Amino acid sequence: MTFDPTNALTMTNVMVQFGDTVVLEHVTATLAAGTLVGVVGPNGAGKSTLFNAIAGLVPLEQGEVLVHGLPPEKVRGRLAYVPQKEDINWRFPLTAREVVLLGRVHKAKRLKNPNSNDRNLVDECLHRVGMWELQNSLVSELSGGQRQRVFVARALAQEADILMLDEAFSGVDFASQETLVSALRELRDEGKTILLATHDLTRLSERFDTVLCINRHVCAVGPPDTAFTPEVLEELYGAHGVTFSERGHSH
Amino acid sequence: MNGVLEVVSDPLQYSFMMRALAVSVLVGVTCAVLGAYVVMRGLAFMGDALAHAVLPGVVIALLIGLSPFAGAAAVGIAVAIAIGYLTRRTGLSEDTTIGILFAGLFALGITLLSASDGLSVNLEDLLLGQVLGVSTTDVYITLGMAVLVLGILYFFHKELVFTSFDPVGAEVIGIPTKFLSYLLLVLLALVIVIALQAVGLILVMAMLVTPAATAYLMVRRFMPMMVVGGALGGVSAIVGLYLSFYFNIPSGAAMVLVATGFFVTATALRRRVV
Repeated sequence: MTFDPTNALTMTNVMVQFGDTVVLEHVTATLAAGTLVGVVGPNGAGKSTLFNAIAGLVPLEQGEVLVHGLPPEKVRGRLAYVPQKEDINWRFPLTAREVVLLGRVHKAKRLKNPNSNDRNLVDECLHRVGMWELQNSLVSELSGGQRQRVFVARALAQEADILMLDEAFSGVDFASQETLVSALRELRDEGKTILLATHDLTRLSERFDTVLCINRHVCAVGPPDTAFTPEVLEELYGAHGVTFSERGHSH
Repeated sequence: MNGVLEVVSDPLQYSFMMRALAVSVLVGVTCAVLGAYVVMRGLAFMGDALAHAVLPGVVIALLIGLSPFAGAAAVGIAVAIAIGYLTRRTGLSEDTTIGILFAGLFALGITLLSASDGLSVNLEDLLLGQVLGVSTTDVYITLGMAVLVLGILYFFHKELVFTSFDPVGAEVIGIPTKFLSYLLLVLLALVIVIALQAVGLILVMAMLVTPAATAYLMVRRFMPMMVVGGALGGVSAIVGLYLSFYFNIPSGAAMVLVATGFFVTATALRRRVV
């Protein structure tokens, strides 16, 4: 197996099971490098599990995940994860800068303080997400959108090719969501592949190049305008979702 | 001035006080530095449970003529691992499995102790500590354990901070988070073992939690929290030992009262930032 620069992620018939419960099955999709992908589905659809499967953190019952043509264990460090806010221990007192510096852990020498390369990179990453001025604030004191940008900066400091953001819009106001998306779009333009899981259907077609709709299995994958048919919506959210979306598109 | 100096120096004429002071300071500092993780990761109940659960290990070790350190460390490590295993195996919440093992092993320890005559320790010493009775060997063992625990915390510092703050992100980047969780529990078991001499198993929890929590109120960052916590732990141990010498109160209780006094003061003086 060799590194595949064009296809960032290839999932073939992926099945994940916890005990007797099938969480994901028949998940097959190929995502091109340098795309901004919305992973859309209701709560409990298996979005986080899909991310864990991509990262190689949960065993696959069946199927295969390839990250740039390689198994996930071989590409540790190329993947960066921005967890949902419930998975973070906010009590832990770290500043924005310290969180970004965590992205260098896997490259850092043991017992050594970060060298000037690390520090410069962290500076640059903080600037790029617009968090330079707030770098010495504790992350627990930042707003939801600011926290997300700090984690994106950490992913940049990690020099990851693929970013996965879990429920990145939850608890983030609309304006900050847009700021986050435009930051992500810049990274996409540099060739990063970005997967953002959300159950929020707002402005999907403006925000994402591709949507991957999942509800235990892949309901649709492709550009938002063509992938998001009323049938797919109904499969994702039931009849209620359809009426919601029609109202959303009526203006 | 002379009077103050004498108050400080008088007890140090006794070699048992020198040994007690050495053990107390090592215990106070090590407990508080590790305590920063205990407080931040919510391991207080785990610490208390481990302290009680090592009792049968201590008794068995004494019965078969081994060092009580060895017995307590072995049981502490086994319990730390068993809690993780039982929680996964039964699907019960972690505090439930901790509670079951904690009480069950403590009961076993008491039973063994009362069934075995002629042991050189009594229950009260184990419960409340007997720091004035420590030997020179105990001092060296305590020093060795303290260096080991602090050294491991230093060695894995970045990884431990990452997993304590963001376990999922840490796992994705390739940090062995499960290993580090167990490692912390093992360190907790080792620290409890040395702390038993100074404060006894009932009060170990206070040395783990109180100075670290006080430091959390005083400083905003994690490293300073470890340093300030360690200093508070050490000072509490010294002051407590002197109070115990002059007022003839149990040393463990005196140390914990001093640490608690710091906490109350820090809470009262705390000016919230922002």
